[in-house]
Order: sequence, then C-alpha cells, then structure tokens
Amino acid sequence: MTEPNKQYHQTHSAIQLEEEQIKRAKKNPEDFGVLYEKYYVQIFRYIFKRIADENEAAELTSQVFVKAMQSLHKYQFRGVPFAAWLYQIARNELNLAFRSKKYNRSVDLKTDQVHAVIEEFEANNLQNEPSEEKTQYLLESLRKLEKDELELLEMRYFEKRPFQEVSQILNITVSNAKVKMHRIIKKLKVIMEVEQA
Amino acid sequence: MEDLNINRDKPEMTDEQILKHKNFNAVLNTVSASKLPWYKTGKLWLVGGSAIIVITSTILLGNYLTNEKNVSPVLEEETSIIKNEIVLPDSLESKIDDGNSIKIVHVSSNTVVKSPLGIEIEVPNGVISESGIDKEKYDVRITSLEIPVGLDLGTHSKKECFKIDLSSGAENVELYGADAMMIKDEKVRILTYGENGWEELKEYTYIKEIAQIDSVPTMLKPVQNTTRPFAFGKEYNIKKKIQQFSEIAEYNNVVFQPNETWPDEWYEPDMWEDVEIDQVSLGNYRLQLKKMSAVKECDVTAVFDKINFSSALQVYNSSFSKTETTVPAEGSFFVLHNGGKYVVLYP
Repeated sequence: MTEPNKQYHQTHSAIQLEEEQIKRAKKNPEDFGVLYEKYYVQIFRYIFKRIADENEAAELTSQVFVKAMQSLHKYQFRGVPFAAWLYQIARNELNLAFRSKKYNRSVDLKTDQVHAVIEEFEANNLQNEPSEEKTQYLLESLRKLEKDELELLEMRYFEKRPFQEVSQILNITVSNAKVKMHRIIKKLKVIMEVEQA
Repeated sequence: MEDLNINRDKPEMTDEQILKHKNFNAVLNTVSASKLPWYKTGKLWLVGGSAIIVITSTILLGNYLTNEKNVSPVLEEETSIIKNEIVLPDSLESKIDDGNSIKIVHVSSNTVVKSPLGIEIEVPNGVISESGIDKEKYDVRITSLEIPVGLDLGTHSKKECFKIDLSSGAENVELYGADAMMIKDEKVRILTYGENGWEELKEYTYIKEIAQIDSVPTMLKPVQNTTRPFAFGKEYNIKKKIQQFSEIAEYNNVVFQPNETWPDEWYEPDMWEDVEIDQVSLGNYRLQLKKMSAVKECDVTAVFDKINFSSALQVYNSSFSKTETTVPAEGSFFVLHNGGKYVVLYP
C-alpha cells in the first residue's frame, strides 16, 4: 500500500551528510540554501494539499523556511531526516493559520485511496470495488473526524507515508501511530454505519 | 470539521509549477531583517507587535479550545520528549489520598478474547481481557479490572497487567482501549457491562504519572487442566529442565496438557527414555519424547491438576504482594501500567 517518499527517506550516509549541511547553515545562513532547495517542493506540496491555494501555500512555505532559519540554532540532530523538523514547523504554521480562520482546511485525495480506506474495515466482505454511494459516505465521514485523526489518516492513506515517517513528523512512536490509526479506522467504520443507516 | 474542503481526484501540481514560487533570497532577506535591532527598522516593530498579538491570541484561543482541565501531559518516550509540567485543578488535587491497593493480576491482548465467564470481547491492542462480575447484583457489578497490554490471553505475565479493586469505587466499568502507549492527550474509553452487553460510558484522558514500578516478576497465571495432562516424573528430571522458563519455574507441580489426543501408553512414566522441553510461547511448550532412535514432538500447555491448582494460585497471587501500590480512593480514578509506570486517569 505504501509508496515511500523517496525525498523524505535517506540513507544513513545521506543523513550524516545532511548533518554537516545543517552545521554549516548554523554558522552561515546562506548555506541554508542547500536545505531550502532540497525540501522546498515537498514542504510546499504538504501545505498546498491542506489549504488548496497556490499563492497562500507559497507564502506559508516561505514562512516555514524563515522560521526554520530563525530557529536553526535550537535544532538538534537526532539521526532522523531534517525534513521531519520542517514538517513540524509546517504543521504549526498551518495550525496557526487555521485557528486564525485565515484558511479553511482542505484535504486532497484520490478515489482509489478512499477505496483503500473502505477496504481496511471491509477486508473480508469486499468483493468488488466500493460503490460510489459508499465512497460518498466515507467522504462525509471524514468531516466527523477530529483534526488530528484526519491528519494521521491523510498522511497514511492519502499521502501514503510509512509509519516511520508519520511518527517522526507527528513526534510520536511508530507503535502509537499504528494504534491511533487502528482506532481511526474503527471510528470511521462506526461513523459510516451511522451515515448509511 | 464541517467546513472541511474535500478535493477529490484533483490533478497534482508538478514540481515545475511549485518551483516557480521558490525564492531563497526573499527568505534570506526576511531572516536578516528580523535580526536587525528594532530601531533600525520600523517594519520590525510592527511585525513584532503583530506577532505578539497573534501569539497571545493563539495561546488564549488554544486554551479555550482545549479541554477545561487545560493539561498537556507528555509521556516520556524512548526519545525523551519534553515533559510538560502538569497542573491539576484544585478540585482534583483534594481528592487524592491513600486509598485502594492495586494488585497486578494478568495481561491479555488484542483480537477476540473470551473471558472465563463466557463473554466474548473483540478488543484492539491492549484492551480488556476479563473482569470479575458480582452476579448477585442486578446491575452486574464489576469488582475488578484487568488491563491488558499485549500478550495472549491464557498465557499471562504479571509484568504488564493490573487488577484494580473497585469494590468501593466505580461500578460497572472496564477500561477499554488502554495500552502501553499512552501519550499526550491519549484517551481511553470506559465501557460498562449491563444487561445489554458492553456499552461505552465515557472517555478519560491520561493526566498524571504517580508511581514507578521498576521490576515486576513474571509468572504464568495458573490454569486448570481440561484433559488428561502429562506429568513429568523424576525420571525425566523435569523440574530442572523447566527452571529455564521463569514463568513456571516457581511452581512445584506444573503438568503439561497435550494439544492433541495422545494414546494412553504415552502417559506411562516408563514409556520414554527421555523427555526434553522447549518453549513455543509463554505457557506453550513443545515436548520431545524420546525412545531409542525415535523422537516424537508434541505441543503442550502448562496447566495444574485439580489437586494442585489452588496452591498454584496462592503462589501466583502471593508474588503480587511485592508490587502493590496505592491509588486514590475516588472510584473514578484508574491506574494503568504504562511501560513500567503507573498513571492515574481522571474524567
């Protein structure tokens, strides 16, 4: 099911190299450009999927990198990709924007990804592809999720991030992410049953 | 999230479209400007002032939006997440005093489990296994809770289980959804068991860690045999052989119930020249029955016969005395085992 984000996941040596880049950037802000180039597209994409406005996404992305540079002195290398920290900053910026009602939360998804969610709680019963009616029920059920539940579901099913990546971005353990995911699926199943009743 | 915008099958932006917005120089300039002393840029003064207003509003709004207890507990994970100070409202603090003792009983795990009382419960990771039910009461009262963490029901380890004496506390509750991975804002749901079966009561939120249990002995909870067991005799030196299995080593009279039907002669003490035992999983073992060059492998379960069952239970229960602790007497407070730490949940 998962298609690892190749830009996120790196070899050990690549991560070590990145540590060197971060150290240089701490001393000389212009050296941060390497990291900016490396992560710009994925941070932009992460934000754009959640606010669905290209220009606003560009502005927020810029803010993320500004904040990253301003806080770089506090960043501690922990053997995980620098991207995880950038995503955390991006999450914070998005949450601030949503709280201030500047944007409405959006979610981008594909029909086959929605079907994959339905298949999770109908694994034994699914003979054919879920009907359009069922797909619509699930889409409506998404509105009943809490924001952190939607976020986890989105990262796993609509962005196809592995649990390790999800756990690093959300700053939780992998096992915790799995438990939460399990509960979200169960909750969706219940919500859908109510919707369909 | 009623105002959620759902974009279905929307074409993705290409990298080229995204890269059009890239401007590192602008980022660099913003960062540089933010480092200028305030008197050198009127813009900074305005930006800073606005930032303060935004941040304050965010904090106030955030406080309003979080639950009324306004706590932010963070469990220390393997990577040492920052631990926030937890502030409990005075009304809760005053309720904490010495109260019921906690005795660890057993663990259980996920998937479908069936309690000895015949109740089938589908549980996710770390959920209920069984409960003691006082049948004399009309509203079936649960007098104890057993909180599982991850091992199969039937092969228990004390290390990760709890029994909470509720005889003077909350009624008809079981802890559902609690597991060893409690984290910030993690919620557990409380189920009640009544005449209509299990019903959800309410959610609790992890609040406070109150004690640390450093080490908990591991013992198999005694189970009585249901079919004829195989009793190792002295001729096989079995007592020495089972010492390697800490979960049964302390018992004197453990026997082994075959998972399949054996011919009668297999049970005879002089049938075999030697018997070896390996562990398959906690409580489940594989015997190697040897006679001349022939070796028969059989899976068995560690059990106790009727005569020795109660004494085995005494051994089992007495081992808990080393790990008793106290919790608040208030019935709505529960204690979970969470990676070796006891925590208290408040409604």
